[in-house]
Amino acid sequence: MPCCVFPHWVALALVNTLNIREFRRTLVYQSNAPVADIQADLRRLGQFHDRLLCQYNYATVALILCISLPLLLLFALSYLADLGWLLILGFVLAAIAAGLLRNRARRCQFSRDRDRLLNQVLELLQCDMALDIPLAVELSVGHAQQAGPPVSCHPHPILPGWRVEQYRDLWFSVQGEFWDQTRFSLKLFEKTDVPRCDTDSGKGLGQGFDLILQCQVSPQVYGSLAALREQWAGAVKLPPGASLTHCEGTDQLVRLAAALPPAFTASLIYQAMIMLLLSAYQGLNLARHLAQVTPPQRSATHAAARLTPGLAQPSMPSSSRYDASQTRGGGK
Amino acid sequence: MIKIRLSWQDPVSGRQRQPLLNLPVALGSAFEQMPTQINGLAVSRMVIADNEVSGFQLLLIALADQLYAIDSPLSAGTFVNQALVRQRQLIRGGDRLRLGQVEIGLQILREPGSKQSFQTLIQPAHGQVSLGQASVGQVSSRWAPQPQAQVANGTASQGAGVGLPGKPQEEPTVQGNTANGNGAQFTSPPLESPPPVVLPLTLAPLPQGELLCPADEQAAVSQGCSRQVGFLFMRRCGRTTSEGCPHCRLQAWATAPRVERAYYEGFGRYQPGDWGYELLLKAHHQG
Repeated sequence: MPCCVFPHWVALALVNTLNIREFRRTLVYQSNAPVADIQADLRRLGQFHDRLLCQYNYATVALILCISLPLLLLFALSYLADLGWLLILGFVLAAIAAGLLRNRARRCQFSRDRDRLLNQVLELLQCDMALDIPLAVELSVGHAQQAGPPVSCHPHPILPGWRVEQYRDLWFSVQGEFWDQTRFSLKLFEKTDVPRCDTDSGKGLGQGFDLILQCQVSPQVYGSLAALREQWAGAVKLPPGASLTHCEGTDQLVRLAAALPPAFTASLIYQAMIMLLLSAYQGLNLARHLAQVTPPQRSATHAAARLTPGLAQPSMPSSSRYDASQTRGGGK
Repeated sequence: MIKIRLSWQDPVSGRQRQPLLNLPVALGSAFEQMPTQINGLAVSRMVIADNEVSGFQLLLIALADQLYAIDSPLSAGTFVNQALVRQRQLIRGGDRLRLGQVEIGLQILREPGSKQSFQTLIQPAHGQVSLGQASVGQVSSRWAPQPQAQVANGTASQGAGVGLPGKPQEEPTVQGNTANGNGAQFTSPPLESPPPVVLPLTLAPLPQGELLCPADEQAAVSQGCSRQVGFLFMRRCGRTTSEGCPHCRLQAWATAPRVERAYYEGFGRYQPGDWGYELLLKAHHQG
C-alpha cells in the first residue's frame, strides 16, 4: 500500500487559511495560526492586491478602447453598413463589462501599508515566540467604515446644530504568547472625526492613531509587578510627537496606550510600536531582576510557591519545553 | 609573568570593574559553562552580567607570544575595536572589546624584571595540542585547534613538526624573536636562553555558505544551539535543528534585532540616571 507522506513544508504550503472570497467581501483578514502561516497568508494578500491592480489597469484600457473605437466606426458606417451597427453594439456591451470589472476591482483595492506593517511586526515578534504557538491576528484593510457606535461625541466648535463624532477603526490586532509565557495583545486603531447633524454628515477627517499594548505576565518568571505599579510611566519612551495616554499596572498586568499624530507614516508607527514593546520589557526585565534580589519571603512568587508546590525561583522557562516545541511537525 | 587588566562597567549595578587576571581568560555570562583549565593552565573566568552575552563567549589566550581573542562560533558576536571577531583575532593593549552591550578595555601589565612575554601553551607529550573538547564544554568542534608547525621568521621547517603524532619529538630551530611583526606591544627582547617551544594553534576555517546556527554539528545536537537569541529578552536558542529558525534564516541575527532595539536608548540598562536604578538599588539594600 503506497503511503503518501508530504514533507512538512509541503503540507504547510497546502494549508490555506486565507479565504479570498470572504476577504474580497469584507476586506478583513482574521486568523489564529502560527506566525509562518500568517506570513504566508499575507504574501497571498499581496499577490491578490497585485492581481486586483492588474485587473483594474486592463479594465481601464479596455474601457477606453471600447468607447473610442465605436466613435471611429461611426465615420465608417457608410462602408460597413449593418455590420457597423453590430460592431458598435458589441463594443458598447464590452465597454459596459469592462466598466463593471473596473469598478469591482476598484472597490476591493486597498493600501498595502497595513499588511506590510503587520508583517514587519510579526517578523520581530517571532524572535521571541515559539514557532508552533498560534497567534490571533485581525487585519482590516478597508476604508474607515464608521459603522459602529462612535467612541466619543462633542458639539461642533463652529457649526451650530452639528456634532463631531469620533470613530476608531481597527488597522490590526495581534494577540499571542511570548516564549516567557507573557500573553500580549497589540492593537492599532485609526481615529476619524466625522461632523454630523440630524440630516447630513460631513467628510471624515483623520485624527491620528491609538496604539494599545497589554501584557499579562507569568508570576513564575517575573514575580509580582506590584513594585512597579506607580513607576511604569517613567519606563515608557516614544518617538517625538507620540504621547502616552494610558498607563496601568497591576500585579500581573501592564496596559499601555499611546496616541500617534495623523502625520505618522507606517515606518514611524512601526517605530512607536517597537518602542512601546521595549518600554514594557524595560519594566518587566527590571521586575525579573527585582524578583531575584528580593528575599524569598517578601516576594509574591515565593509566597505563591509556598502555597503551590512546583513554583520555583523566578527564572526563564526551561529550555526543554523550547526544544520540544521548536521544531514544527514533531521535529522531523 | 604578564597579566592583563580588563575594565568595564557592570550593566546591572553600574559599578566599574577592573580585575587583574592571569592568562588564559574566559569571558561569558555563565560561570559554570566556562572551562576551568586549558591544557594544564588554570583559566581565569569572568562573568559579564549581560543577557546578550553567551554562557562562554570569548577566550583570551597567549599563542606564540601574542595575545589572541578567540570567539565562540555560538556567541552573539564579539567586536574588537568595532570589528567583528571571526574565529580568532590578535589583540593588543588598549584595544576595546565589546561583548553584547558591554565594552571592555584591555590593559597589559608586565611584572618588573620579567623577561618572558606570555605564558604560552606549551605543547604536551605526543604533540597533541588541544584546547580540550571536554574542558571547553559545549563549544563546537570549530574550536578544536589543528596542530600545525608554524615557521617563525621563516626558519623552522614544516617537517620538524613539533609534536606531530608518530614522529620523534624534535625542537625546531627558532632564531631571534618569535613575536615580531604585528604584536608590537608584546614583543620581548631577544632571549638569552633558548626560546621556549611554541606551537601556535590554527583553527579550522569556517565552511563556506554554512548556516551560522551550528545545529548540524554534533556538539549542538545533544545540547541544542547555545546561541543567545531573542529581541525583547535574550535566551538560549536551544534548537536542535536550524529548520524554521528565524535567526538562521535571516543570516543577520547578530545585528538585525539590535537595529530596532536602538530605538529605545539604554534598553536593558539600569545604571545611575536610568529609569529603574533607584528601585534596583532599594531592592539590593533590602536583599
